Amino acid sequence: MRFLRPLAAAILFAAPALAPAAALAKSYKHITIATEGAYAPYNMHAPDGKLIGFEIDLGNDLCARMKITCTWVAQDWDSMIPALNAGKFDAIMDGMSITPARLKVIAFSRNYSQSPTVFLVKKGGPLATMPDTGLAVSLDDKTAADKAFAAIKPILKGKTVGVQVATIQLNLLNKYLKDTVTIRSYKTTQEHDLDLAAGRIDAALASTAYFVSTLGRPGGNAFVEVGPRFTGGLLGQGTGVGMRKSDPELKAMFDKAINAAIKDGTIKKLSLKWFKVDISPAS
Amino acid sequence: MAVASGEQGVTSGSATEAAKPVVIEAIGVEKKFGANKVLRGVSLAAREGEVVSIVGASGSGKSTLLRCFPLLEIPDAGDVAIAGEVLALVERGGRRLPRDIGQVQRVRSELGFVFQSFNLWPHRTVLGNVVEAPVHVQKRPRAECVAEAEALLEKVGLADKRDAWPAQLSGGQQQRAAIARALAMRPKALLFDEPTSALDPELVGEVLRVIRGLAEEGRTMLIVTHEMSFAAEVSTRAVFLDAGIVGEEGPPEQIFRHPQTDRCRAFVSRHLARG
Amino acid sequence: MMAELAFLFGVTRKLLGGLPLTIELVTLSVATGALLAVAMALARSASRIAAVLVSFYVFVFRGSPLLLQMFFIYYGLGQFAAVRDSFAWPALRDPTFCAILSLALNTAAYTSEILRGGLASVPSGAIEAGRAVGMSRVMLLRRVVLPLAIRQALPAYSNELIAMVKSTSLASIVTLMEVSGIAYALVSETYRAIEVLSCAGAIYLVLIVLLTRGVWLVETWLSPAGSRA
Repeated sequence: MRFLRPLAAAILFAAPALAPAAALAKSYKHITIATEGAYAPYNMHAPDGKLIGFEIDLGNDLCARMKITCTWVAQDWDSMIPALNAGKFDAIMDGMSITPARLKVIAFSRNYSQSPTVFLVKKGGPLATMPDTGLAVSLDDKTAADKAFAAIKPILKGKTVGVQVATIQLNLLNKYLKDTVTIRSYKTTQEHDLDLAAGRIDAALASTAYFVSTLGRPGGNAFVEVGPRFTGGLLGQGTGVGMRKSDPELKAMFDKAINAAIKDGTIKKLSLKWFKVDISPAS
Repeated sequence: MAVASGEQGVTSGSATEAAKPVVIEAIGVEKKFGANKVLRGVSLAAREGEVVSIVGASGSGKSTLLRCFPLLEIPDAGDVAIAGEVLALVERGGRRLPRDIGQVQRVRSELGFVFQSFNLWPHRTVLGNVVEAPVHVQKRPRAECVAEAEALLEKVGLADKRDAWPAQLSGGQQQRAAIARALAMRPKALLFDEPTSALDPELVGEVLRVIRGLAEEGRTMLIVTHEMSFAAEVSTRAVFLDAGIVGEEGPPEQIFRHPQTDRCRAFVSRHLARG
Repeated sequence: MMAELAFLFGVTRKLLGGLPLTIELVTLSVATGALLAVAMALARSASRIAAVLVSFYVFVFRGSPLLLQMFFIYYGLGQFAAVRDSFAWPALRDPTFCAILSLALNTAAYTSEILRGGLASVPSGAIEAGRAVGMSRVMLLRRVVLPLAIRQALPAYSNELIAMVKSTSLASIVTLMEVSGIAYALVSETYRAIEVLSCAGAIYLVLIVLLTRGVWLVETWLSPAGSRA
C-alpha cells in the first residue's frame, strides 16, 4: 500500500502532460503547421531540404495576416490526422480536401483552393481515348454523375488505376468504380506516377493541380489528362486548413485571413506562380 | 646401433606366417607436415591373421602411418596397398591425389578404422551408427544389416544400448560401439589408432577386452597403442617406429622383452612397467 | 463498451483478410531464400571465385535496409527501359513477385551466414569417420554434414524466421495489402491508430507464437532428448 501515494502523485503530475497540449493555449502566438513535402506543387522539398511550395507561401502569408509566427514540419500523409489530434502540431496544410468524413474528426478552415479530380494516362495508351475529356461533372448532381460514370465504365473495365492511400480519389474509386477497375493504393503520389510510367498501372487518379507537377517534370509529355473533371460530393469542397476541433479560435483566425487573401488576389497570384492556372476559390 | 633413413631395422619372422597373403602394405611411405618430416620412408606389411602392434614415442609418426592406409593422410612418396591392390596416386598441381576416388572409397569400405576419439555420429543412435555404412555405403539390405548389428553389439557388450545416443554413453561404451561399427563393414583388416588413449583408466579394460577377443578370432589387425603390456600380450608381431622410420621389428618377445637396438631398448624400458 | 468491441471485432476481421497474403509472402520467400542459401553454402566450399562472389552478395544484402532493397527492385528496376522490354518484365511488373524476390534475396544472405556457422560446427571427427567408411563426398554431405549443420543452425534460424514474418509488413510499400497494408489504410480511414495497430500487432504475435512452437517441435524431432552432445 505504501506505493499508492507516490503513484497518485506521479499520476497527478503526469496528467497535464497527457492532455492535448493545445487545449491549454487559448491565445496563439506561435503555431506548428504540418505538410507532406511530397505533393508538388502544393508542397515539396527543395534540393537543400527546405519545405517550399504553394501552401508554404500561402501559409506564411496567412500567419503574417494573423500576426503569429509559424514553423513548418514534414509528416507522412497517412498518419497526419491522428498526429494532429495527438497534439504533434497545430494545423495541416497538405492539399487536404474538406470532406464530411474528415469533418467528423477535425475542423477545417474555409477552403483556400479548389481543383477537380481527373485521370492521368499514357499518351497513345488504351485509356487515351476516354470519352468526355474536359467535361466538368459535379458529384452533387446524381444524374450527371451517373451518366458520366456510365460513359467511362466500358473503357475502364478490367484496367488498373493507381491512387494515393486514404484520399478522396480512393473514396471515389471505391464508391463508383470498385467492380470495374483494379485499385492499387500507393503511399505517395510519386509512386503511382512511377508505376504509370513503368506501365504497371493504366491510369492514376488525383487532383489536376497535383498533375501540373507530373506533367511539368522531364518525361511529363508522355502523359495526358483524360475523362471528366470531377468535383463535389465525396470529393469535398476544396482544400482547407485542418485543425483540432478544440481550437475554434484558431479556425476563426484562419477563416478571416483566407477571406482577406482571396479578396486582395494573393491566392490567385500564388496559384498562378505555382500551378500556372488559377485554383483559388470562386468566393 | 644407429639405423639410417630408409633402411629397415632388425627384423625376424617365422616361415609359416610368410605363407599367408599380405593384407596391408606400406611401401617406402614418406609424409611431412610443413617443415616437419614425420615419416621418412616406412615399409611395413601385415599378413592375414596377424595382429601387428605399432609402438613408439609421441611424434614418431605412428598415427600418421596408420592413417595412410585408408588414405586419410596421403603420403608424399611411397604407396599403400590393400589386399594386393595399390591405391594409385597421381601428381596434380603440386599435390598427390588419388587417381580414382571411387577405388579409394571402395577400399576404405573394406577396412575398419577405429579412432582415438571414437568419432561416433552424434545424430544417430548406437544401432544407427552401426548400420549406417553397411546400408548406405555397401548397399546391403537393411534387415540383414540390423540383424548383424545387433549381434555385433551383443559381442561388444552393448546390446542394451542399441537405442541410446552417443552422448549418453561413457567413453568406453562409445569406443566399443565404434568397434562394432567398424566390424559391421565385414572388413578385411581392422586399424586401431590409439583406441584407449582418450579413455579414463577404469574404462580402458573393457575396450582392451573386446580387442583381445577380436585378436583371438584371428582377424588381421594393426594397433597403434601406448598400452605396452597389452600389445605384448595380444600381438603376433610388433613394430617400433622411431622418428619416422622402422627402428626395430619382430615378435613381441623380442621388441618388448629383448630389444636388439639401443633406441628400442631405451624406449621400452621407459614405458614398460615391468622388467 | 459494446460499440468498442464491435469496432475492434470489425477491424480484426478486415485485418485477417490480409493474412493469406502475409503467409504467402513468408512461406514463398523463406523457401526460396533457404534454397538459395544452401546453394551458396555449397558453392562457397566448391571454388574460391564462388566464395568471393557469395561474400560480396552477403555483404550487400546484409549491409543495406530491406526497405531500400524492396524499393529498388520494384520502383528502381521499373525505371529502366531495358528491364521493361526484357523477358523478366511480366514477373517484375507484379508487386507480389517483387516483394517475394526482395524478401528471398534478403533472407538468403542471413541464412547463408547461419548455415556457414552450422557447417563450421560439424565435428571434424564425424566427417573423418564418414570418409573412413568409404562415403563419397555427396553422401558425406547428405548423411553427416548437412544434418548436423542444420541441427546446430536451427535456433539461430528460428530468429531469422521470426524476422521474416515481421519483414513482410514492408510489402505494403509496394502496394500489397497484407496485414500491415490494411492496417495503415484503416488508420487513415478511421483515425484510430492505437486500436487498429494493436489488433494488427496481436495478429503478428499469434503468428509468431505458432511459428516458434513449430520450430521447437522440429528441434525436438531432430534432436531427441539425450542426443545432444
